[in-house]
This record gives sequence, C-alpha cells and structure tokens, in this order.
Amino acid sequence: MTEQPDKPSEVMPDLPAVYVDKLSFCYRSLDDEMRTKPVSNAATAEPLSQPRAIEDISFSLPRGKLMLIAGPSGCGKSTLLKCLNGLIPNSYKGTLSGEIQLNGRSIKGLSLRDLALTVGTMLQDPDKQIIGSTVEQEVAFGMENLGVPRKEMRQRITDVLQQLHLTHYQNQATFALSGGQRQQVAAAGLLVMDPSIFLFDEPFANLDSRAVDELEALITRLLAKGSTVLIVEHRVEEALRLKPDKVLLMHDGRQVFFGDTEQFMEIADPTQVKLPIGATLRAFSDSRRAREALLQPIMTRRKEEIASRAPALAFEDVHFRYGSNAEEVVHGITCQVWQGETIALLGPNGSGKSTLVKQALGLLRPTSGSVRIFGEETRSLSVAQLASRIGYVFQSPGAMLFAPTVRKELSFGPENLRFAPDTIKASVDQAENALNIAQFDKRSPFSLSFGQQKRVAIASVLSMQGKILLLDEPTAGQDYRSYISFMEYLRSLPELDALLFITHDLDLALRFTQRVLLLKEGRLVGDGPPLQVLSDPNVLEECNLRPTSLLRYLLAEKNAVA
Amino acid sequence: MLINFVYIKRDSPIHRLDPRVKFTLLFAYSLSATQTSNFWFILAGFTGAIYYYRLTRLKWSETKRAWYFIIFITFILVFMNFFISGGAIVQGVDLSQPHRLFDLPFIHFTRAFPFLAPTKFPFTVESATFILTQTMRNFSIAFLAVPIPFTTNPDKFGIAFKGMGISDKISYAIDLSLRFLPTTVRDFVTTLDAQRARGFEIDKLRGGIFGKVARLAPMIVPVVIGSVVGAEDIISAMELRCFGVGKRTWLVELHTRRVDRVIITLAITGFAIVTLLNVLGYFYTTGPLHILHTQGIPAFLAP
Repeated sequence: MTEQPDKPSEVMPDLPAVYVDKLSFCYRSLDDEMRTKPVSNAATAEPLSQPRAIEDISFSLPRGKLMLIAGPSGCGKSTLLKCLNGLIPNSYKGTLSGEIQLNGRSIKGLSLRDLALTVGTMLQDPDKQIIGSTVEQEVAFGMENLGVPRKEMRQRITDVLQQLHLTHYQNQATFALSGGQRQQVAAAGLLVMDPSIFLFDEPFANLDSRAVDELEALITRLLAKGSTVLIVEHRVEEALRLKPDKVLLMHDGRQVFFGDTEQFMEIADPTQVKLPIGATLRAFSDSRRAREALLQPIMTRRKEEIASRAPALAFEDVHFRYGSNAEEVVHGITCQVWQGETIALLGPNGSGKSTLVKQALGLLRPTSGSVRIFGEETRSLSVAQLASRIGYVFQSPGAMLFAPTVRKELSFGPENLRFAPDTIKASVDQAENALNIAQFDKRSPFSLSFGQQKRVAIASVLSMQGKILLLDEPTAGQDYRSYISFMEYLRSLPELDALLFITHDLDLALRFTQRVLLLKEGRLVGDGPPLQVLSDPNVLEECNLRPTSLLRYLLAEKNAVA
Repeated sequence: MLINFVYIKRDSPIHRLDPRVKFTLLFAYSLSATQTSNFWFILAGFTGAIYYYRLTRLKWSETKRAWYFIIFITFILVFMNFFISGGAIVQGVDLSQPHRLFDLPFIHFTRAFPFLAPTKFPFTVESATFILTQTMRNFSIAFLAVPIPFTTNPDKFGIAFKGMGISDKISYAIDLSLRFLPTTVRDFVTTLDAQRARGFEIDKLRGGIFGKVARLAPMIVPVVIGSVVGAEDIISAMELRCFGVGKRTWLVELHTRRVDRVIITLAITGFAIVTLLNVLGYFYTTGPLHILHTQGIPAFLAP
C-alpha cells in the first residue's frame, strides 16, 4: 500500500507549510541547446525567450499564510511553481537540486497524483485549466481520476458549487461561461480535491474588476479556512490588496528579496512592478512631477497637421446581430473618432467592444446604420480595401503569425495590397523601426517572447500604412515593465491619424489617452476625457470597473483643486 | 478550452436514447450497408433512416451546415467517381450485358498524340441504379450520424465509449478529440479574420494548384501551431489533476431502458444476418441467399 500524504488535520502546527531550501533547476533541453550552439545568440540586444532556470531559491511559509511571488516575465516565477506542484521533475525534465518540503514532508520522488492531494494549482489562464465539457464534469474531473465513488462525488460537487454560488450553472457548458465564471469553476475543480496548499499563477491577468473581486473573496476564504496560498503575480497592486504575509521578489531566476510586505514596499521599484500609487509617488520628489511623468496622453497628430474636417472614423447608429434570428448585440452606437485622438474603449467582458471594432474593418457588417472612414461609407468596400486604410490587431499574436521570418511576416500585408517592391521595403523598415524589432528581422516570429510577438503583430499591421490603428487588448499577457515600454512605442508611431484600443486596464486609459468610450451591453454609456467619464462611482460599478489607486488619487486631487 | 459540438437541448425519442444505442446503430448500419449494393436493401435502410431522423425533431436551420457538407461529399463520391471510372464502379453487377439508355459525349485517353479523344460514354440502367443506391447509402448513414452531436449531451460522450468496453484513457481521449474539432473551427475563423485584416483574400489566391496551397500557409500555420501548443496545455492541466494514474470513476451514469436494449439487440442481429447473407452469397450463385450480391434493378428502370 502506498503511503498517503498527510491530511491537514495531521500536520504538525510548528512545521512550515512550504519550505524551500537552495532550490535550483535547469531545463535539460536548454542545457543541450547551449552545448551545441553556445554563443550564436549572445549578441542580440534583447534576451532570448528561452525558459530560464531558477537558482538558489530559499524561503519558508507557515501554514494558513499568504505569499506573493513577484517579478517580471521570464524571472523564473512559473518555473518555481512547476517545482512546487511537481510538473518539475515529473513532466518537464531537467536538473533539479535543493530541497522542497510541503507540510513537513520532502516531496522528492512523489508522483503528481500524491502531490495533487496536497497542492492545488490554478493555471494562469482558466481556459487552459478547464477540461470538462460541463461545469459539473469539470468539478468532478480530479475526483474521477482518483477513483472517488459516484455518490461521494455528487455530494462534494453540490457542496463546492454552493460554496462558490455556482449551483445555478451546474449543467452549463464550460465554454459558454464568462471569463470570471470560468475562473470560479476552475477554482471549484481544485477546491473539491481539498488540497492544503493553493498555487495561483497570475490569477488577475485576464479578468475584469468584478471577477477580480470574486477571486479575492475566494482567496480570503481559503486563508480563513487555514489553507496556505501562494500567488505569482506581476500586477502587484491587485495582489497587495490581499495583504500577503510574505513577498518573494525574483529577478533573472534569482531571489532578490524575501520578507514582509512593509519591507517589500520600501525596496520595490515602481518602474519594474505595478505598485499602488502611494509607493510610486514616494519615488518622485514632488507630486506634480509624478503626475507629469504618469499622465502623458498619446497624441497621434499635432493640431496644426490636421487637414481633414471629416472624422477619421464615424459610427452612425450601428446595430448588429449575428444572423437574422440572433439577439442584437450592438444597439445603435453613434460616435466619431477625430484625427489626432487616442481613445481607450472600456467595458465589461461581452459588452460588444470587439464586435463594434470589427464593424470598422468590415469583418462584421452592421445590420443597420453605417460606418464611415474619412467620410467614405465602408459598406461598398471590401475588407482588403479597408485594411489599407485601417489596421486592426487581434488580441492574440498567435492567431496571425505564420511566416518563417519577422521580415516576411511584415511584408505579408503590403504584398496582399500589391504595394510596389520599393514601397514594401520602405514600409517594412519603417514599421520595424517604429516597434524596435529590426534586430529580429531574420528570426522566426515563433522564437520570440510573447511581448515581442505582440510587437511583431502590430508592426505587421502597421506596415500596411493604415492611418487608423485599432488594437485589441494591446497589453494583455505582458508584465508591467514591458507593457509600459510597449505603450511608449505606440507614442512614437509616425503617420498615424487615430489610435483606438480596447482594454480592461483603467490606468492605461488614464495615463495614455485623452478620451474614453465606455460600453455596456452593446450601448455607449460614457464618452469623454478619462477623468470625467470615470469619476462617477455608479457608472464604474455598473461596468464592472474598479477604481485603481491612481484613479482615486487623481480624483481626490481634482476635488481638492475644485 | 475545448468547446462543445452544437448540442440542441430538446425532448425527442432520439434525445432520450442511450448514446451507446446511437453509436451502435450507426456502426451496425454502416457496416451492413457497405456489404451490399442491392437497391431494395438500401432503400429499406434509407426509409428507416429517414424515419429515425424525423424522430429527432431537428430543424433545417440548425443542421443545414452539416447537410451542405454531406451533399457536397456525396456529390463528389457518386458523380466524380462515376465519370472518372467511366461508369465502371458498379459493385456486384454483371457488366457483360449493360442496358444502354443513352450516350453522353466524353473524352478518353489514347495512345497516340494528342492523347485525348472524344468518346461516347454509355449511361446504362445499371449505372443509373448504382448512382441512386450510392446516394441513398450515403444519406442513410448521414441520417444516423448527424443527429449524434445534435441530440447527445456532450457530457455523455466519454462514458458512452467507456460503456462500450473501451478503456478509461481512450474513452476520455475520444471525448477530448470530439471537442477538438469545433475548437479548431473556431480558431480557424479567428485566424481567417486576423489575416483578412491584413488584406488576405482566401477566394482570390494566385498561382496554380500548388501555388494556391502554398498561399494558404497564413491560414494553416497559426491554427496548427495553436493546436499543438493547446494540446500541451491540456496535458499539463490533466496531469495536475491526476489523470491517468489509475482506474477512474465517471460522474455521469448511463441508464439503459428496455427500448435501448431492444434496439441494440436488433441492430447487432441485423448486422449479423447481413454479414451471414453476404458470405453465403459467395457460395450460392442464385436464389434468395445470393440476393445481396445482385443489384435489384427497380421495375421503372428495368429494360
């Protein structure tokens, strides 16, 4: 008979729940690669996107406590999680050294099955975690694999769904749930297995604020129950609201800091991780300078350059439904985008942001109403014709990157539009420089990191020389430092008449735009300067937007002046 | 995440059937129908399949995309094969004395330059019957297959295969792969939109046939790479929740009613009888035991 790992009740109270000592890991594949081609890529300006090992990590966390693991992308956070949940060394091979003890027991040699009874892992993207086709099946999946009898499974599923207020969704298909519900369902699938330690990998990355609230409530409940929770997150501001007991800061696979939250706030660098505004202000000598540094709307055109009187893009009473029997999803939206504007399109999941933007490009055509580009009705233009005037970049670069080299990727659009060879070369060069990807020119887009791929995706749309650029979630999946530098690239894009992006991130709208469009259930419920639209707490609440510390600070400042 | 097939929740006799019945019926009938080209036998199957399909209460608007596909495939199979083979793909028919109805002008290959010459293509009673039989065969199989995704709750697929004696792992793998198809379709649509936004026009590809295929790379590469990466994610997620470590239990339970058992018995018996008749047909060259090996030309076509 195999020895069962300790149940929480049997855990000795004085032993730490998680104890890590001098942990190092090196991916074997990387090792092999290094041996065969040691220096070929060493000279490139940006680090390669190879999985980086972790080195000499030591910490310990008592039972029932919350720990935050912070650090930029590629710092080894995910590798550390994989060591804790057993994917390393069970699924990923490599050289592992050091010691990990969970609830006082070394996990060396334990199988994934044994570990899964102690550790529940919430993957970064709930879409990747959910296996079952219905909510009930998803929750049952782990128990089924452990051979739990059907009757007991039914009971435990009923309990956990009740606890998370999901009973209503029990028989719903998982793919039909909203982003927040998916996360809750994925969490239910872990809770039902009753692990004593929970790992969350960037849980706030893909959620709107309502969903973040629900997740915070869940984590608080777990802690109250005596579970130990580890969160990996670069959105430190959100994670700090949970008041973690310990913070581990990593950089380049090494441990930079481990200690209490208060100490962490003193040493943390606000340009590397997103901190509450208070900590950021402390980094500046006076608040006006901070304000200037933070709030710099992107100007796509200077006033004197604006030639045309017609709006760059105009939606006129746009209605849309998928198919004649389907429900209407966009209910009569009218708005103009003028030359020189940078606009953030905000709104909860499913409010029709992407649907609206797709009308501009003809990927979807309005059921009634019209869309005009520089006064020209788009209905008579094909998608390809529109693509030469207006660029649209999809959220996931993986949906469009295909070419063997970055350069070929960038010339694909211009070739489709039958540009002359000289023009293609010029526009590709320009796009490469604008997004600072010229050094990857000959590399495969698939060998780049996510943030780099995102820049290639945007450059490959820019190279078509459209005057209006639409971006769907330009910063999703990037850490704070890379997304701020990414937004700075956008600032310097030449020859752009208007920039419009969809986002969940209020601070992004506050810091980089002059105007916000707020959508809710297919209707435009707010249009104006960011601070004005976002100043009404009721509107924020209705649209699942939660005020960030930056917004609160700016509003307080505004009120003080008034 | 994998998305489900279009299950349409509705109460119909077919919705209520145990999913194993639907699969058994499909397999038993398909394997029987491929053993014969007898017009009357296939006609009987076709009539039965139409009746079965009517019981599902599926609407044309719900299933039309599946049917367009089936009509296209059937057209290719039946007519293209017929013409390419010069009408010679006729199973179990004495072709020594064809009953010619009329001739179609056609071309055939010759030994001498220019290697192509006009010829007459006979349209016979036998080939007409065979076209009809083929079409009915394809559609009758489709009438049994199409309702499966539309009338079966997706949470029952895995356990259905498990209940037919397939191992835990393979049953779950089949369940996952059934959902992989609609997921790939969705990814394909996203990629198509993303590339159209870059001026890509799938209906205006340049070049010859190979050139056209090469120009499809912008569509195919992202979808294939996305699927491979997606599959790896699924494997990790499954391992983290102990998949494949031992004998698993299944939350969903299948309940067989009497009608389910009767249909399964009939389907398997029918298949056994057809197979037996088919084998005997090789030993008896005439009479009722040879019937599956004859074409059974209907009277209105008879010469």
